Amino acid sequence: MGYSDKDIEEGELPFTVSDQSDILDIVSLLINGLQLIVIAVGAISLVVGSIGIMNIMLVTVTERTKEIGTLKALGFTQNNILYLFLTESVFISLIGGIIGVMVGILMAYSATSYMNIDISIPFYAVVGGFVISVLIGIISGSYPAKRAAEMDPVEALRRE
Amino acid sequence: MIRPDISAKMSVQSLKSSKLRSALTSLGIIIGIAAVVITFSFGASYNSYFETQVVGMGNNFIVIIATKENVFRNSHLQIIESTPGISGVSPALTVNGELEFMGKTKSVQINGVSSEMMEVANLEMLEGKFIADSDKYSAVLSKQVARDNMKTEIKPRNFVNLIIPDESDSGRKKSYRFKVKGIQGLEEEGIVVGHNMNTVYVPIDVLRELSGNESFNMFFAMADSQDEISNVSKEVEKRLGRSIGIPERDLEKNITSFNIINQADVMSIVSSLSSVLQTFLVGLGSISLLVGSVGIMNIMLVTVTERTSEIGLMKAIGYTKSDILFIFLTESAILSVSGGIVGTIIGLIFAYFGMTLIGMGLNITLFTVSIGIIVSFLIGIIAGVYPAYRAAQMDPVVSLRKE
Repeated sequence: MGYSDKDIEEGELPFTVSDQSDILDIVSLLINGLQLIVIAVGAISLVVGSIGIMNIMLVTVTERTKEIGTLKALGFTQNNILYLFLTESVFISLIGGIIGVMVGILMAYSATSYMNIDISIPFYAVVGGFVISVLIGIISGSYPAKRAAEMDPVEALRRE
Repeated sequence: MIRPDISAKMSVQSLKSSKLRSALTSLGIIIGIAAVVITFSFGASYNSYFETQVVGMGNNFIVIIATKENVFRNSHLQIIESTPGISGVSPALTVNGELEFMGKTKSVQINGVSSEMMEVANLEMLEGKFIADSDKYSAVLSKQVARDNMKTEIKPRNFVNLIIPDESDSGRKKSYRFKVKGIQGLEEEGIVVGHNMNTVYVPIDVLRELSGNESFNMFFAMADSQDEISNVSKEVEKRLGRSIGIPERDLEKNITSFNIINQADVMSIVSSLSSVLQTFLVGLGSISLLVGSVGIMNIMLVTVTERTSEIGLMKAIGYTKSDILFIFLTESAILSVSGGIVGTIIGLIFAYFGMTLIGMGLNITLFTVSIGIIVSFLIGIIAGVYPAYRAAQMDPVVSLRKE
């Protein structure tokens, strides 16, 4: 039709071309957007859950003040105690993570079979679930564990 | 029964005694309630945004589209006009043609309409006027045609050439000179109904003559009122069916040579779509609320265990089971509701900024505000019931003996 390439770039054509890959692009853009929103909203409950872990670890540390004093008196270093409480918090979080991944897969399976869609569980989603739960355990356990590690053994033992 | 204010005072004392723990527990509820408020107000704003878009599409319109060729004639126009409840109707004939201006050509959809089209389809004019019934070779261009993709913007009183295929002459394309009478469109276009199509409006009689097409392929009709729209649209369908010779049985099975769409249908489709989205988002948001309520229950169980000897003492000096139940329920409700109030405020602030960012108006209803507080109260009660029950059931002798 005698249009120069410059005109094509500027879209000055009496026709538009749209092929299937354009449509697929738009669809996958929409789906990616939706997936992002869904994951973000889902992640909020993880934040709430990690606050819960931190809270209960703080309670545990307070409850075991006397025990921490005894451990320190017996020669446990600050690092040992830090490690002890971090392990505990990672343990709680990882157990939650394993059960969470299983429940999630089960739910996704029943939802997709209900909607007649083939299920696709990416490997990284499962591994990601475990890794994230370990990270949450470490992050939310670090403050309570630090509090436990820095306790003065004399003060801790004196407390009733 | 213990006085509520005394119980509240005791609860506040207990919560104050471990400030960090109480703050973290309500933080869980704050985040959960904020998530629900954000997703809820997002959904509600989205809903009302799309509803105004659909309302902007026309004034109680009913569109009748022929699905075969040569279905509608002048007599059908009269049938629709005489149907009770119809306050205006414009026939339409759509032809794919081209528009030429200053040596540039582009494909356009040429719509032959009558002057009533403007009111029925709620068309807004950017410049100039819409075509009148007495007009001959006048054209109204959509904003897209006039302003985009052309080297020079087309203004009213410019002359353009419309290239129209003539069906009575085996589809040969012929060029005619039209005077631009106006530019149709809105400065800001919506998402759903961007009038951003390459549309040119010309008087219907002129287009029928030039294209050699005697029939109409669409009618844009307008109902008197919004409530009557569905009934009027059914009546139009029945009358048209009778005139074309389609039995009512076939009308019900949709074996017709025309389709009928009205604004009420479009509205209900849009609102059902957006309410599905809203339910989905709120459902996701409420998962964090569930997690937060598990946190409350957990911390209340700790509190009850910690205060075992206090509970024993209270029982020993005459507090009844229901007093103790009430005290612990109050504590858990205060924890949760304070989280709910803060969460609602934070959620509304976030929703406000989010909506301003996207450019939709925020639609805060009393419902949005009250739902967060009511839900957080209920969560406080539900999450607190088991720990409070455990406290109430404690044997005073055993609890006093415990160190």
